[in-house]
Amino acid sequence: MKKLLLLILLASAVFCLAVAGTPCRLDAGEKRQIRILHVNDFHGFAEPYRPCGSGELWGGAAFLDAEIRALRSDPAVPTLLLAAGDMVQGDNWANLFQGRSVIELMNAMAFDGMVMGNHELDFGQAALKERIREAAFPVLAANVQGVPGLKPFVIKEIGGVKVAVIGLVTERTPLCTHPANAVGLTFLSPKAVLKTYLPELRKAADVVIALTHLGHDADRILAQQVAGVDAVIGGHSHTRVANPPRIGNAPVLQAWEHGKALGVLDLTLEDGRVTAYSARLVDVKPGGRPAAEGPVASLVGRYSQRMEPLLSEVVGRTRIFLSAADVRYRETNFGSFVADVVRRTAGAEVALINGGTLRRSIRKGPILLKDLHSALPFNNYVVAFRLRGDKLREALEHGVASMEAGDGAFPQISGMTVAYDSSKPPGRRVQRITVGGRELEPGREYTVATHDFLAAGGDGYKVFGQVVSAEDLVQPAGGGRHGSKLVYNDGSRWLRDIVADTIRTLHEIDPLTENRIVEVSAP
Amino acid sequence: MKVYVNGHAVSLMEGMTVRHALLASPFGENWEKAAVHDEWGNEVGMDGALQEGQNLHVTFSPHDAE
Repeated sequence: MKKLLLLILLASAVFCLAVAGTPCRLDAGEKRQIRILHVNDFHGFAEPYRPCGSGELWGGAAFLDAEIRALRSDPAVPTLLLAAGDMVQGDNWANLFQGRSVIELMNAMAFDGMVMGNHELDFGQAALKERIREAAFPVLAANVQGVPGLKPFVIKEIGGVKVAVIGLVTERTPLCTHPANAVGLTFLSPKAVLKTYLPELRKAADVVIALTHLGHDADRILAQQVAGVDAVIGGHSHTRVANPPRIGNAPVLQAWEHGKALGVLDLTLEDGRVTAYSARLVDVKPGGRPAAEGPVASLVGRYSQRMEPLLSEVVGRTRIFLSAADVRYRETNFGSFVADVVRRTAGAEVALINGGTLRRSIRKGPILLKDLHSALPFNNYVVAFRLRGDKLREALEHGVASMEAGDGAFPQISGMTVAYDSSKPPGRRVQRITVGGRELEPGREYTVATHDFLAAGGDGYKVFGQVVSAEDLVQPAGGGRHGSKLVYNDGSRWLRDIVADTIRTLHEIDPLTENRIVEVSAP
Repeated sequence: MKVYVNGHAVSLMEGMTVRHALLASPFGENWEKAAVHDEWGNEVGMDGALQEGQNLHVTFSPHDAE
Protein backbone atom coordinates (compact mmCIF):
# COMPACT_ATOMS: atom_id res chain seq x y z
CA MET A 1 0.00 0.00 0.00
CA LYS A 2 2.87 2.33 0.89
CA LYS A 3 4.43 1.57 -2.50
CA LEU A 4 1.19 2.46 -4.25
CA LEU A 5 0.83 5.74 -2.32
CA LEU A 6 4.40 6.58 -3.17
CA LEU A 7 3.58 5.78 -6.77
CA ILE A 8 0.62 8.16 -6.72
CA LEU A 9 2.87 11.00 -5.51
CA LEU A 10 5.53 10.03 -8.02
CA ALA A 11 2.97 9.78 -10.80
CA SER A 12 1.74 13.29 -10.07
CA ALA A 13 5.27 14.69 -10.20
CA VAL A 14 6.21 12.76 -13.35
CA PHE A 15 2.95 13.76 -14.92
CA CYS A 16 3.44 17.48 -14.28
CA LEU A 17 6.90 17.30 -15.82
CA ALA A 18 5.70 15.25 -18.81
CA VAL A 19 2.80 17.45 -19.82
CA ALA A 20 4.19 20.85 -18.84
CA GLY A 21 4.34 23.22 -21.77
CA THR A 22 2.54 20.89 -24.17
CA PRO A 23 0.08 22.44 -26.61
CA CYS A 24 -3.70 22.44 -26.20
CA ARG A 25 -5.79 19.35 -26.85
CA LEU A 26 -8.00 18.73 -29.83
CA ASP A 27 -10.79 21.31 -30.12
CA ALA A 28 -14.43 20.31 -29.92
CA GLY A 29 -16.06 19.77 -33.30
CA GLU A 30 -12.87 18.71 -35.02
CA LYS A 31 -12.73 15.30 -36.69
CA ARG A 32 -9.40 13.56 -37.07
CA GLN A 33 -8.06 10.14 -37.93
CA ILE A 34 -4.91 8.59 -36.56
CA ARG A 35 -3.29 5.21 -37.02
CA ILE A 36 -1.45 3.06 -34.48
CA LEU A 37 0.80 0.32 -35.84
CA HIS A 38 1.96 -2.33 -33.41
CA VAL A 39 4.14 -5.43 -33.09
CA ASN A 40 4.97 -7.60 -30.08
CA ASP A 41 7.19 -10.51 -29.08
CA PHE A 42 9.56 -9.93 -31.99
CA HIS A 43 12.29 -11.83 -30.11
CA GLY A 44 14.97 -10.76 -32.56
CA PHE A 45 13.56 -12.62 -35.58
CA ALA A 46 15.06 -10.22 -38.10
CA GLU A 47 15.33 -12.75 -40.93
CA PRO A 48 12.32 -14.52 -42.48
CA TYR A 49 11.93 -18.09 -41.23
CA ARG A 50 9.74 -21.16 -41.63
CA PRO A 51 7.72 -21.72 -38.45
CA CYS A 52 7.07 -25.31 -37.30
CA GLY A 53 4.45 -26.91 -39.52
CA SER A 54 4.64 -24.21 -42.20
CA GLY A 55 6.27 -24.57 -45.57
CA GLU A 56 6.22 -20.81 -46.06
CA LEU A 57 8.67 -18.16 -45.05
CA TRP A 58 7.20 -15.67 -42.59
CA GLY A 59 8.37 -12.40 -41.10
CA GLY A 60 11.62 -10.62 -41.77
CA ALA A 61 12.33 -7.13 -40.48
CA ALA A 62 12.83 -5.70 -43.96
CA PHE A 63 9.43 -6.96 -45.08
CA LEU A 64 7.85 -5.72 -41.85
CA ASP A 65 9.43 -2.34 -42.47
CA ALA A 66 8.04 -2.27 -46.02
CA GLU A 67 4.51 -2.79 -44.66
CA ILE A 68 5.05 -0.12 -42.01
CA ARG A 69 6.32 2.41 -44.55
CA ALA A 70 3.37 1.73 -46.84
CA LEU A 71 0.91 2.28 -43.98
CA ARG A 72 2.73 5.42 -42.88
CA SER A 73 2.82 6.93 -46.35
CA ASP A 74 -0.56 8.69 -46.22
CA PRO A 75 0.14 12.17 -44.81
CA ALA A 76 -3.56 12.56 -43.99
CA VAL A 77 -3.32 9.72 -41.45
CA PRO A 78 -0.65 10.47 -38.84
CA THR A 79 0.79 7.30 -37.39
CA LEU A 80 2.44 5.94 -34.26
CA LEU A 81 4.53 2.75 -34.25
CA LEU A 82 4.55 0.85 -30.95
CA ALA A 83 6.10 -2.37 -29.63
CA ALA A 84 4.42 -4.41 -26.89
CA GLY A 85 7.52 -5.98 -25.39
CA ASP A 86 9.92 -8.94 -25.67
CA MET A 87 11.75 -7.43 -28.58
CA VAL A 88 15.46 -7.82 -27.79
CA GLN A 89 15.93 -11.48 -26.74
CA GLY A 90 15.33 -14.78 -28.50
CA ASP A 91 16.93 -15.44 -31.87
CA ASN A 92 20.73 -15.47 -32.29
CA TRP A 93 20.39 -12.27 -34.32
CA ALA A 94 19.47 -10.56 -31.05
CA ASN A 95 21.18 -12.69 -28.41
CA LEU A 96 24.70 -12.51 -29.82
CA PHE A 97 24.52 -8.72 -29.37
CA GLN A 98 22.54 -8.74 -26.12
CA GLY A 99 19.71 -7.06 -28.00
CA ARG A 100 21.71 -4.07 -29.31
CA SER A 101 20.96 -5.14 -32.90
CA VAL A 102 17.21 -5.01 -32.23
CA ILE A 103 17.32 -1.54 -30.69
CA GLU A 104 19.29 -0.29 -33.70
CA LEU A 105 16.69 -1.91 -35.95
CA MET A 106 13.84 -0.28 -34.05
CA ASN A 107 15.58 3.08 -34.26
CA ALA A 108 15.91 2.65 -38.04
CA MET A 109 12.22 1.75 -38.27
CA ALA A 110 11.37 4.87 -36.23
CA PHE A 111 9.47 3.24 -33.40
CA ASP A 112 7.68 5.75 -31.17
CA GLY A 113 7.71 3.66 -28.00
CA MET A 114 7.80 0.21 -26.49
CA VAL A 115 6.83 -1.42 -23.24
CA MET A 116 9.47 -3.45 -21.45
CA GLY A 117 8.70 -7.18 -21.67
CA ASN A 118 9.82 -9.77 -19.13
CA HIS A 119 12.52 -11.03 -21.52
CA GLU A 120 14.02 -7.55 -21.79
CA LEU A 121 15.62 -8.40 -18.42
CA ASP A 122 17.24 -11.62 -19.64
CA PHE A 123 20.68 -10.09 -20.25
CA GLY A 124 20.66 -8.43 -16.82
CA GLN A 125 19.86 -4.97 -15.60
CA ALA A 126 23.10 -3.40 -16.86
CA ALA A 127 22.38 -4.53 -20.43
CA LEU A 128 18.77 -3.33 -20.18
CA LYS A 129 19.97 0.06 -19.00
CA GLU A 130 22.26 0.24 -22.04
CA ARG A 131 19.47 -0.76 -24.43
CA ILE A 132 17.21 1.93 -22.94
CA ARG A 133 20.00 4.47 -23.37
CA GLU A 134 20.51 3.44 -27.02
CA ALA A 135 16.82 3.58 -27.90
CA ALA A 136 15.69 6.68 -29.77
CA PHE A 137 12.20 6.05 -28.37
CA PRO A 138 10.93 5.80 -24.79
CA VAL A 139 10.92 2.41 -23.10
CA LEU A 140 7.86 2.30 -20.84
CA ALA A 141 6.72 0.44 -17.74
CA ALA A 142 4.63 2.40 -15.27
CA ASN A 143 4.41 -0.51 -12.82
CA VAL A 144 8.15 -1.17 -12.56
CA GLN A 145 10.36 0.68 -10.12
CA GLY A 146 14.15 0.55 -10.04
CA VAL A 147 15.19 0.56 -13.71
CA PRO A 148 16.93 3.83 -14.59
CA GLY A 149 15.69 5.39 -17.81
CA LEU A 150 12.40 3.53 -17.84
CA LYS A 151 9.44 5.89 -18.26
CA PRO A 152 5.88 5.26 -17.04
CA PHE A 153 4.20 6.81 -20.07
CA VAL A 154 4.70 9.09 -23.01
CA ILE A 155 2.41 11.65 -24.59
CA LYS A 156 2.95 12.06 -28.32
CA GLU A 157 1.23 14.60 -30.51
CA ILE A 158 0.47 13.43 -34.03
CA GLY A 159 -1.53 15.52 -36.47
CA GLY A 160 -2.81 17.68 -33.63
CA VAL A 161 -4.00 14.69 -31.62
CA LYS A 162 -2.40 14.03 -28.26
CA VAL A 163 -1.89 10.31 -27.62
CA ALA A 164 -0.88 9.04 -24.20
CA VAL A 165 0.77 5.62 -24.13
CA ILE A 166 1.24 3.98 -20.74
CA GLY A 167 3.41 0.86 -20.38
CA LEU A 168 2.46 -2.10 -18.14
CA VAL A 169 4.39 -5.35 -17.76
CA THR A 170 3.50 -8.60 -16.03
CA GLU A 171 4.17 -8.43 -12.30
CA ARG A 172 5.21 -12.11 -12.42
CA THR A 173 8.41 -11.16 -14.26
CA PRO A 174 10.69 -11.83 -11.24
CA LEU A 175 9.40 -15.41 -11.02
CA CYS A 176 10.49 -16.42 -14.52
CA THR A 177 13.94 -14.91 -14.82
CA HIS A 178 17.18 -15.40 -12.89
CA PRO A 179 16.71 -13.85 -9.43
CA ALA A 180 19.76 -11.62 -10.00
CA ASN A 181 18.02 -9.99 -12.98
CA ALA A 182 15.22 -8.68 -10.78
CA VAL A 183 17.18 -7.71 -7.67
CA GLY A 184 16.14 -4.26 -6.43
CA LEU A 185 13.20 -4.01 -8.81
CA THR A 186 9.59 -3.67 -7.73
CA PHE A 187 6.73 -4.86 -9.92
CA LEU A 188 3.37 -3.38 -8.95
CA SER A 189 -0.14 -4.42 -9.94
CA PRO A 190 -0.77 -3.26 -13.54
CA LYS A 191 -4.43 -2.69 -12.74
CA ALA A 192 -3.74 -0.51 -9.68
CA VAL A 193 -1.07 1.49 -11.49
CA LEU A 194 -3.26 2.08 -14.53
CA LYS A 195 -6.08 3.30 -12.26
CA THR A 196 -3.62 5.68 -10.60
CA TYR A 197 -2.37 7.25 -13.81
CA LEU A 198 -5.54 7.17 -15.90
CA PRO A 199 -7.41 10.25 -14.62
CA GLU A 200 -4.46 12.56 -15.30
CA LEU A 201 -3.70 10.96 -18.67
CA ARG A 202 -7.34 11.42 -19.68
CA LYS A 203 -7.13 15.11 -18.81
CA ALA A 204 -3.95 15.63 -20.76
CA ALA A 205 -4.53 13.56 -23.89
CA ASP A 206 -7.21 12.91 -26.49
CA VAL A 207 -6.36 9.22 -26.73
CA VAL A 208 -5.05 6.86 -24.05
CA ILE A 209 -3.42 3.59 -25.07
CA ALA A 210 -2.44 0.88 -22.59
CA LEU A 211 0.65 -0.73 -24.12
CA THR A 212 1.00 -3.95 -22.19
CA HIS A 213 3.06 -7.07 -21.81
CA LEU A 214 0.59 -9.08 -19.76
CA GLY A 215 -0.89 -11.63 -22.19
CA HIS A 216 -4.20 -11.52 -24.05
CA ASP A 217 -6.27 -13.07 -21.24
CA ALA A 218 -4.92 -10.53 -18.75
CA ASP A 219 -5.48 -7.70 -21.25
CA ARG A 220 -9.14 -8.64 -21.53
CA ILE A 221 -9.48 -8.62 -17.76
CA LEU A 222 -7.67 -5.28 -17.53
CA ALA A 223 -10.00 -3.73 -20.10
CA GLN A 224 -12.96 -5.07 -18.15
CA GLN A 225 -11.75 -3.83 -14.78
CA VAL A 226 -10.37 -0.43 -15.75
CA ALA A 227 -12.64 1.67 -17.93
CA GLY A 228 -11.25 4.69 -19.70
CA VAL A 229 -8.52 3.55 -22.07
CA ASP A 230 -9.17 3.77 -25.80
CA ALA A 231 -7.27 0.59 -26.66
CA VAL A 232 -5.24 -2.15 -25.02
CA ILE A 233 -2.33 -3.16 -27.23
CA GLY A 234 -0.66 -6.22 -25.81
CA GLY A 235 2.01 -8.87 -26.03
CA HIS A 236 3.41 -11.80 -23.99
CA SER A 237 0.98 -14.56 -25.03
CA HIS A 238 2.02 -14.47 -28.74
CA THR A 239 -1.66 -14.26 -29.68
CA ARG A 240 -2.80 -13.65 -33.24
CA VAL A 241 -5.84 -11.50 -32.47
CA ALA A 242 -7.38 -11.34 -35.93
CA ASN A 243 -10.81 -10.22 -34.67
CA PRO A 244 -10.16 -8.04 -31.66
CA PRO A 245 -12.83 -8.02 -28.97
CA ARG A 246 -14.29 -4.75 -27.75
CA ILE A 247 -14.34 -4.81 -23.97
CA GLY A 248 -15.91 -1.77 -22.39
CA ASN A 249 -15.09 0.77 -25.05
CA ALA A 250 -11.64 -0.57 -25.77
CA PRO A 251 -10.47 -2.93 -28.48
CA VAL A 252 -8.01 -5.49 -27.08
CA LEU A 253 -5.30 -6.16 -29.62
CA GLN A 254 -2.21 -8.28 -30.15
CA ALA A 255 -0.15 -9.01 -33.27
CA TRP A 256 1.08 -12.61 -32.88
CA GLU A 257 4.88 -12.97 -32.70
CA HIS A 258 8.27 -12.71 -34.40
CA GLY A 259 7.25 -9.93 -36.78
CA LYS A 260 4.94 -12.30 -38.67
CA ALA A 261 2.09 -9.82 -38.41
CA LEU A 262 1.69 -6.08 -38.11
CA GLY A 263 -1.24 -4.73 -36.12
CA VAL A 264 -3.11 -1.76 -37.56
CA LEU A 265 -5.52 0.28 -35.44
CA ASP A 266 -7.27 3.23 -37.10
CA LEU A 267 -8.96 5.62 -34.69
CA THR A 268 -11.47 8.32 -35.61
CA LEU A 269 -11.80 11.24 -33.20
CA GLU A 270 -14.67 13.67 -33.01
CA ASP A 271 -15.16 16.38 -30.42
CA GLY A 272 -11.93 15.38 -28.79
CA ARG A 273 -12.71 11.72 -28.20
CA VAL A 274 -12.51 8.42 -30.04
CA THR A 275 -15.82 7.71 -31.75
CA ALA A 276 -14.89 4.85 -34.05
CA TYR A 277 -12.11 2.41 -34.73
CA SER A 278 -11.14 -0.36 -37.07
CA ALA A 279 -8.42 -2.91 -36.44
CA ARG A 280 -6.74 -5.53 -38.55
CA LEU A 281 -3.60 -7.63 -38.85
CA VAL A 282 -1.36 -7.51 -41.89
CA ASP A 283 0.53 -10.75 -42.55
CA VAL A 284 4.24 -10.22 -43.03
CA LYS A 285 6.00 -12.66 -45.36
CA PRO A 286 8.27 -12.47 -48.34
CA GLY A 287 5.74 -14.39 -50.48
CA GLY A 288 8.10 -14.75 -53.38
CA ARG A 289 8.89 -11.05 -53.47
CA PRO A 290 12.48 -10.09 -54.16
CA ALA A 291 14.68 -9.39 -51.16
CA ALA A 292 13.72 -6.06 -49.62
CA GLU A 293 16.13 -3.19 -49.99
CA GLY A 294 16.78 -0.09 -47.95
CA PRO A 295 18.35 0.89 -44.63
CA VAL A 296 16.52 -1.76 -42.59
CA ALA A 297 17.50 -4.58 -44.98
CA SER A 298 21.10 -3.32 -44.91
CA LEU A 299 21.11 -3.24 -41.14
CA VAL A 300 19.74 -6.79 -40.91
CA GLY A 301 22.42 -7.96 -43.35
CA ARG A 302 25.16 -6.11 -41.52
CA TYR A 303 24.37 -7.75 -38.19
CA SER A 304 23.89 -11.14 -39.85
CA GLN A 305 27.43 -10.82 -41.21
CA ARG A 306 28.70 -9.90 -37.76
CA MET A 307 27.21 -13.11 -36.36
CA GLU A 308 29.67 -15.36 -38.20
CA PRO A 309 32.79 -14.04 -36.45
CA LEU A 310 30.99 -14.18 -33.10
CA LEU A 311 29.89 -17.76 -33.70
CA SER A 312 33.46 -18.58 -34.71
CA GLU A 313 34.75 -17.52 -31.29
CA VAL A 314 36.96 -20.18 -29.72
CA VAL A 315 35.38 -20.63 -26.32
CA GLY A 316 37.97 -23.20 -25.20
CA ARG A 317 39.59 -26.49 -26.15
CA THR A 318 38.82 -30.14 -25.65
CA ARG A 319 41.70 -32.56 -25.30
CA ILE A 320 39.48 -35.42 -26.44
CA PHE A 321 36.60 -36.08 -28.82
CA LEU A 322 33.25 -35.04 -27.30
CA SER A 323 30.91 -37.81 -28.34
CA ALA A 324 27.23 -37.41 -29.00
CA ALA A 325 27.15 -40.37 -31.39
CA ASP A 326 25.90 -42.96 -28.87
CA VAL A 327 24.13 -40.56 -26.62
CA ARG A 328 20.82 -42.38 -27.13
CA TYR A 329 22.27 -45.78 -26.11
CA ARG A 330 24.93 -45.27 -23.46
CA GLU A 331 26.79 -42.81 -21.29
CA THR A 332 29.03 -40.52 -23.32
CA ASN A 333 31.66 -38.07 -22.16
CA PHE A 334 29.83 -35.15 -23.79
CA GLY A 335 26.51 -36.14 -22.24
CA SER A 336 28.12 -36.42 -18.81
CA PHE A 337 29.83 -33.04 -19.22
CA VAL A 338 26.56 -31.28 -20.10
CA ALA A 339 24.75 -33.07 -17.28
CA ASP A 340 27.49 -31.88 -14.90
CA VAL A 341 26.93 -28.31 -16.10
CA VAL A 342 23.19 -28.65 -15.50
CA ARG A 343 23.72 -30.05 -11.97
CA ARG A 344 26.27 -27.42 -10.94
CA THR A 345 24.23 -24.56 -12.40
CA ALA A 346 21.25 -25.53 -10.28
CA GLY A 347 23.30 -26.54 -7.24
CA ALA A 348 21.48 -29.87 -7.30
CA GLU A 349 22.54 -33.28 -5.99
CA VAL A 350 21.89 -35.01 -9.30
CA ALA A 351 21.09 -34.12 -12.89
CA LEU A 352 19.33 -36.03 -15.62
CA ILE A 353 19.02 -34.84 -19.21
CA ASN A 354 17.80 -36.80 -22.21
CA GLY A 355 20.29 -37.97 -24.81
CA GLY A 356 18.25 -36.17 -27.45
CA THR A 357 19.48 -32.89 -25.99
CA LEU A 358 22.81 -33.43 -27.77
CA ARG A 359 22.71 -33.50 -31.54
CA ARG A 360 26.32 -33.44 -32.66
CA SER A 361 29.78 -34.46 -31.48
CA ILE A 362 32.69 -32.02 -31.22
CA ARG A 363 36.14 -32.97 -32.46
CA LYS A 364 39.30 -32.77 -30.38
CA GLY A 365 40.83 -29.30 -30.42
CA PRO A 366 39.35 -25.82 -30.35
CA ILE A 367 35.64 -25.55 -29.51
CA LEU A 368 33.87 -22.84 -31.47
CA LEU A 369 30.70 -21.22 -30.22
CA LYS A 370 28.92 -22.47 -33.35
CA ASP A 371 29.98 -26.04 -32.48
CA LEU A 372 27.95 -25.68 -29.30
CA HIS A 373 25.01 -24.21 -31.23
CA SER A 374 25.05 -27.28 -33.50
CA ALA A 375 25.54 -29.72 -30.64
CA LEU A 376 22.87 -28.12 -28.41
CA PRO A 377 20.42 -26.59 -30.90
CA PHE A 378 17.39 -26.37 -28.62
CA ASN A 379 16.50 -23.40 -26.48
CA ASN A 380 16.43 -25.33 -23.22
CA TYR A 381 16.88 -23.79 -19.80
CA VAL A 382 17.83 -25.31 -16.46
CA VAL A 383 15.28 -26.15 -13.80
CA ALA A 384 15.59 -28.17 -10.60
CA PHE A 385 13.14 -29.54 -8.07
CA ARG A 386 12.91 -31.86 -5.12
CA LEU A 387 11.99 -35.41 -6.07
CA ARG A 388 11.62 -38.52 -3.93
CA GLY A 389 14.08 -41.34 -4.55
CA ASP A 390 11.40 -43.73 -5.79
CA LYS A 391 10.33 -41.13 -8.38
CA LEU A 392 13.93 -40.62 -9.47
CA ARG A 393 14.13 -44.38 -10.01
CA GLU A 394 10.92 -44.17 -12.07
CA ALA A 395 12.53 -41.48 -14.25
CA LEU A 396 15.62 -43.62 -14.81
CA GLU A 397 13.45 -46.65 -15.57
CA HIS A 398 11.72 -44.58 -18.22
CA GLY A 399 15.08 -43.47 -19.61
CA VAL A 400 16.25 -47.03 -20.26
CA ALA A 401 12.83 -48.48 -21.10
CA SER A 402 12.94 -47.97 -24.85
CA MET A 403 16.64 -47.69 -25.53
CA GLU A 404 16.42 -50.36 -28.25
CA ALA A 405 14.48 -47.89 -30.35
CA GLY A 406 17.27 -45.35 -30.03
CA ASP A 407 14.90 -42.64 -29.01
CA GLY A 408 16.01 -39.46 -27.32
CA ALA A 409 14.89 -40.39 -23.81
CA PHE A 410 18.04 -42.33 -22.86
CA PRO A 411 19.53 -40.49 -19.88
CA GLN A 412 22.80 -38.68 -19.44
CA ILE A 413 23.41 -38.15 -15.75
CA SER A 414 25.48 -36.39 -13.11
CA GLY A 415 25.91 -36.93 -9.37
CA MET A 416 24.63 -40.50 -9.51
CA THR A 417 25.23 -43.89 -11.07
CA VAL A 418 22.78 -46.39 -12.46
CA ALA A 419 23.16 -50.05 -13.37
CA TYR A 420 20.49 -51.55 -15.60
CA ASP A 421 19.72 -54.80 -17.34
CA SER A 422 18.31 -54.39 -20.83
CA SER A 423 17.21 -58.04 -20.95
CA LYS A 424 14.54 -57.27 -18.35
CA PRO A 425 11.17 -55.91 -19.36
CA PRO A 426 10.77 -52.11 -19.51
CA GLY A 427 9.99 -50.74 -16.07
CA ARG A 428 12.07 -53.41 -14.29
CA ARG A 429 15.47 -52.77 -15.79
CA VAL A 430 17.13 -50.54 -13.21
CA GLN A 431 19.13 -52.71 -10.81
CA ARG A 432 20.99 -50.22 -8.66
CA ILE A 433 21.22 -46.47 -8.22
CA THR A 434 23.73 -44.56 -6.12
CA VAL A 435 23.72 -40.86 -5.34
CA GLY A 436 26.98 -39.36 -4.12
CA GLY A 437 28.34 -42.87 -3.63
CA ARG A 438 25.42 -44.05 -1.45
CA GLU A 439 22.48 -46.25 -2.30
CA LEU A 440 19.40 -44.36 -3.39
CA GLU A 441 16.85 -44.04 -0.60
CA PRO A 442 13.33 -44.42 -2.02
CA GLY A 443 11.68 -42.23 0.59
CA ARG A 444 14.27 -39.42 0.68
CA GLU A 445 13.93 -36.24 -1.35
CA TYR A 446 16.78 -35.35 -3.69
CA THR A 447 17.35 -32.13 -5.58
CA VAL A 448 17.20 -33.05 -9.25
CA ALA A 449 18.29 -30.75 -12.04
CA THR A 450 17.15 -31.11 -15.63
CA HIS A 451 15.95 -28.77 -18.35
CA ASP A 452 12.53 -27.33 -19.09
CA PHE A 453 11.71 -29.82 -21.86
CA LEU A 454 11.96 -32.81 -19.53
CA ALA A 455 10.51 -30.90 -16.58
CA ALA A 456 7.33 -30.43 -18.59
CA GLY A 457 7.20 -34.16 -19.33
CA GLY A 458 8.93 -34.13 -22.72
CA ASP A 459 10.32 -37.40 -24.19
CA GLY A 460 7.86 -39.24 -21.98
CA TYR A 461 9.36 -38.15 -18.63
CA LYS A 462 5.90 -37.92 -17.14
CA VAL A 463 7.28 -38.38 -13.63
CA PHE A 464 8.98 -34.99 -13.95
CA GLY A 465 5.81 -33.46 -15.32
CA GLN A 466 3.92 -34.87 -12.34
CA VAL A 467 6.20 -33.25 -9.79
CA VAL A 468 5.21 -29.89 -11.21
CA SER A 469 1.66 -30.54 -10.14
CA ALA A 470 2.72 -30.96 -6.50
CA GLU A 471 0.60 -28.43 -4.66
CA ASP A 472 3.44 -26.59 -2.98
CA LEU A 473 5.05 -26.01 -6.35
CA VAL A 474 2.09 -24.48 -8.10
CA GLN A 475 1.04 -22.23 -5.24
CA PRO A 476 1.92 -18.72 -6.36
CA ALA A 477 3.45 -18.00 -2.95
CA GLY A 478 5.99 -20.72 -3.45
CA GLY A 479 6.62 -20.27 -7.16
CA GLY A 480 10.28 -20.48 -7.90
CA ARG A 481 11.40 -19.83 -4.36
CA HIS A 482 13.32 -22.02 -1.98
CA GLY A 483 11.08 -23.93 0.35
CA SER A 484 8.86 -25.20 -2.42
CA LYS A 485 9.44 -28.25 -4.61
CA LEU A 486 10.96 -25.99 -7.23
CA VAL A 487 14.50 -25.01 -6.30
CA TYR A 488 15.82 -23.52 -9.56
CA ASN A 489 14.07 -22.02 -12.58
CA ASP A 490 16.02 -19.65 -14.81
CA GLY A 491 14.33 -19.14 -18.15
CA SER A 492 16.65 -16.27 -18.99
CA ARG A 493 19.68 -18.33 -20.06
CA TRP A 494 19.84 -21.12 -22.59
CA LEU A 495 21.71 -24.27 -21.60
CA ARG A 496 24.13 -23.94 -24.53
CA ASP A 497 25.17 -20.48 -23.31
CA ILE A 498 25.81 -21.85 -19.82
CA VAL A 499 27.90 -24.66 -21.36
CA ALA A 500 29.84 -22.08 -23.39
CA ASP A 501 30.50 -19.98 -20.29
CA THR A 502 31.65 -23.07 -18.39
CA ILE A 503 34.16 -23.94 -21.12
CA ARG A 504 35.34 -20.31 -21.28
CA THR A 505 36.04 -20.48 -17.55
CA LEU A 506 37.79 -23.85 -17.70
CA HIS A 507 39.73 -23.00 -20.92
CA GLU A 508 40.35 -26.70 -21.56
CA ILE A 509 38.24 -29.79 -20.90
CA ASP A 510 38.78 -33.53 -21.12
CA PRO A 511 35.63 -35.22 -19.82
CA LEU A 512 35.72 -38.99 -19.55
CA THR A 513 33.07 -41.65 -19.28
CA GLU A 514 33.07 -42.77 -15.65
CA ASN A 515 30.77 -45.78 -15.57
CA ARG A 516 27.91 -43.61 -14.42
CA ILE A 517 25.56 -45.72 -16.55
CA VAL A 518 26.43 -49.41 -16.68
CA GLU A 519 24.64 -52.24 -18.39
CA VAL A 520 24.74 -55.42 -16.32
CA SER A 521 23.69 -58.94 -17.15
CA ALA A 522 20.97 -60.62 -15.18
CA PRO A 523 22.44 -63.00 -12.53
CA MET B 1 0.13 -22.60 -12.67
CA LYS B 2 -2.70 -24.76 -13.96
CA VAL B 3 -3.94 -24.52 -17.55
CA TYR B 4 -6.21 -26.72 -19.63
CA VAL B 5 -5.35 -28.37 -22.93
CA ASN B 6 -8.48 -29.65 -24.68
CA GLY B 7 -9.98 -29.86 -21.22
CA HIS B 8 -7.06 -31.78 -19.65
CA ALA B 9 -5.62 -29.95 -16.64
CA VAL B 10 -1.82 -29.58 -16.71
CA SER B 11 0.37 -27.94 -14.09
CA LEU B 12 3.36 -25.86 -15.14
CA MET B 13 6.20 -23.90 -13.60
CA GLU B 14 6.36 -20.15 -13.77
CA GLY B 15 7.65 -19.01 -17.15
CA MET B 16 6.57 -22.13 -19.00
CA THR B 17 4.80 -21.58 -22.28
CA VAL B 18 2.28 -23.08 -24.69
CA ARG B 19 4.96 -25.57 -25.82
CA HIS B 20 5.36 -26.87 -22.25
CA ALA B 21 1.60 -27.09 -21.79
CA LEU B 22 1.41 -29.35 -24.83
CA LEU B 23 4.36 -31.47 -23.63
CA ALA B 24 2.64 -31.94 -20.30
CA SER B 25 -0.66 -32.85 -21.95
CA PRO B 26 -1.73 -36.11 -23.60
CA PHE B 27 -0.86 -34.46 -26.95
CA GLY B 28 2.83 -34.00 -26.10
CA GLU B 29 4.31 -36.44 -28.58
CA ASN B 30 3.27 -34.48 -31.65
CA TRP B 31 3.49 -30.98 -30.20
CA GLU B 32 5.52 -29.67 -33.14
CA LYS B 33 2.68 -30.48 -35.54
CA ALA B 34 -0.07 -28.94 -33.47
CA ALA B 35 -2.04 -25.79 -34.11
CA VAL B 36 -3.01 -24.13 -30.85
CA HIS B 37 -5.79 -21.64 -30.24
CA ASP B 38 -7.05 -19.89 -27.14
CA GLU B 39 -10.64 -20.11 -25.94
CA TRP B 40 -11.67 -17.26 -28.25
CA GLY B 41 -10.26 -18.96 -31.34
CA ASN B 42 -7.11 -16.87 -31.61
CA GLU B 43 -4.00 -18.73 -32.78
CA VAL B 44 -1.19 -18.66 -30.21
CA GLY B 45 2.53 -19.25 -30.74
CA MET B 46 4.41 -22.07 -29.00
CA ASP B 47 6.45 -19.55 -26.99
CA GLY B 48 3.34 -17.74 -25.82
CA ALA B 49 3.08 -17.03 -22.11
CA LEU B 50 0.23 -18.58 -20.18
CA GLN B 51 -2.18 -17.36 -17.57
CA GLU B 52 -3.61 -19.27 -14.62
CA GLY B 53 -6.71 -21.18 -15.72
CA GLN B 54 -6.16 -20.55 -19.43
CA ASN B 55 -7.85 -22.88 -21.91
CA LEU B 56 -5.94 -24.05 -24.97
CA HIS B 57 -7.38 -25.97 -27.89
CA VAL B 58 -5.07 -28.19 -29.89
CA THR B 59 -5.78 -29.47 -33.36
CA PHE B 60 -3.77 -31.53 -35.81
CA SER B 61 -4.20 -31.48 -39.54
CA PRO B 62 -5.76 -34.70 -40.92
CA HIS B 63 -2.44 -35.56 -42.56
CA ASP B 64 -0.52 -35.25 -39.28
CA ALA B 65 -3.09 -37.25 -37.38
CA GLU B 66 -2.57 -40.31 -39.57
